[in-house]
Amino acid sequence: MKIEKETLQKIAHLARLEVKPEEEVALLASMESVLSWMEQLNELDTTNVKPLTHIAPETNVLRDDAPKSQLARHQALRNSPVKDDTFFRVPKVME
Amino acid sequence: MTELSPDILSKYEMVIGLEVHCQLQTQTKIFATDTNQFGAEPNTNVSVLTLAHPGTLPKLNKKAVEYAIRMGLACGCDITRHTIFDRKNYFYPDLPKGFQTSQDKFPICVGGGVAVKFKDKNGQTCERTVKVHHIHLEEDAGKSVHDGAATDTLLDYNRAGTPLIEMVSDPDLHSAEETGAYLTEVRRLVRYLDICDGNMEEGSLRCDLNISVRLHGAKQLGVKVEVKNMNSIRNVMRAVEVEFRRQVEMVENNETILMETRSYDPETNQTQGMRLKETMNDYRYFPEPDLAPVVISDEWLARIENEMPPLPRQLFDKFTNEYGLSNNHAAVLTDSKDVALYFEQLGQAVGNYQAAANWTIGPVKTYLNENNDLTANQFPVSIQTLANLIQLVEQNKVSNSTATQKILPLLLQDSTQSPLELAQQNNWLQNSDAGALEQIIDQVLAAMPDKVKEYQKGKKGLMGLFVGEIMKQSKGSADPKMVNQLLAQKLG
Repeated sequence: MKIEKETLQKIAHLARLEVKPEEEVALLASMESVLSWMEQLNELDTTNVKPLTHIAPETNVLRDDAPKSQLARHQALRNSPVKDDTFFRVPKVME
Repeated sequence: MTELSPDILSKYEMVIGLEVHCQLQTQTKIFATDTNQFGAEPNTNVSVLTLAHPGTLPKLNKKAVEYAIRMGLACGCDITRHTIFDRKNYFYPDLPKGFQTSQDKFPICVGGGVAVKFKDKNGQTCERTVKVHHIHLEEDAGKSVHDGAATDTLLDYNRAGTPLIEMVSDPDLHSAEETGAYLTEVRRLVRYLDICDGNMEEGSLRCDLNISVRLHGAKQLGVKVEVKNMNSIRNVMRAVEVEFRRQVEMVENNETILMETRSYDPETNQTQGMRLKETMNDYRYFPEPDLAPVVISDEWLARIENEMPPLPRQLFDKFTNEYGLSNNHAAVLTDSKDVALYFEQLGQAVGNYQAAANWTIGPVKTYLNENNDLTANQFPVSIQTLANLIQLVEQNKVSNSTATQKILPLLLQDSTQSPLELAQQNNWLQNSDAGALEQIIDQVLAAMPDKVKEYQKGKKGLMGLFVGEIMKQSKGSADPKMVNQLLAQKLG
């Protein structure tokens, strides 16, 4: 399966990865081989097969609506690289 | 913006679809056990799952599922018996996981509609059912504060993980009035169902608009523009009008309408472009592997149906059919759930639903409106005390005006008093003892034989004089209804 350079860059952008030009050839080859391998699945006729969304058989893993186990604010903020006493901070995002 | 003539505007049809997000009023979040509560100190209602710490696993809140199904049943949707969650992938700091857990292919409710009644631009009353495409469950995102610091965006994750239903209508709305009526009805339904408080200012009910224009009769839809950030139904209606005009003007000028997201500014009453909408594929939805499918059995569905609070249209039918109220009264009483339930209790206590309706629509609602829109259960006088007062009127012991203008105000000041005792203490009890009254009437008529003759010759206007004199003699205690009856007999 042939992949265009633009497709590679688009997928990299969606994953917020930076792909340098010198990495493109190797990555394209790798992606093409993975996708070609997966393409074999298209040979199967799945006309009357229901989509399989989950492997495990269980259903209805539910909980009651009762509050418990939440974090104190200082604990919540502990692992954040940038913060103040109240908020997590990130570089300014404006729409 | 140049003025578009009504002739030009009337050539075009607006096509509107609404996405309404309702925060479900569960105790906890949809996939985690942290408290779901508006207005808490920032970042105090968070858990490791909400913050997307590695190794954490979501677990679905059963009540959120049941609330979504309630709304589906209220709108006549098909309930999806085997439903799953999907990941909607995008990077934004208000979602620490890097995806929103939502539903894509198998939303919990499909189809259905919302009955609306509204007056169009020409004042004509229109009634129809607006088609619902689907209702799905998802989690809310955190809140970004952009103006808290010069260089940073501040994040509060209290709201992250709050259960939402997103109700997506078909592109089935064609005017601002209809859009307003639809949104009003959706808000009334979620409030009746006790699943969302419907507060648009606090954002517990939010609405995005999808709007396009086309020439009347055209088959193909125009380019769709999404409009956000309207925090009241009125602003949604204004945004519809202003965006319709903007698009018509662009089409008239042969400009290309971009598929984009725009923000509504209530100050200027204009929409402003935000960012070019990415194609749907970029969200790369796929089934959420960490949440097992939800299978809704007949038994579970039946139980949810049985536990449904009454809907406005059910109460309307009951009030008109069982209690004999007019359509108009029933509509006013079912406008909000608190008033409807209050009326029912009052009617039961009085034993007369028509009298209870008059009192609820009259003095009770007036008081609620004049006092910061209190809800009916906050009315200071208890239902039993008010019922006692209404019964005094029904038994002709006090007049309606004494009850509403004299006794009720005293009860509102001190609700522990008894209406009967107040009437006794103040000498407001009516004299409806026919014997005593007849005596007074006879005396009064005997004192003015000339006037009686004039009346009998046809000067009917003298009735007021007789009644006035009798009321005076009885020191205001006579029941005016009875005075009129007896007078008519005696003069007849």
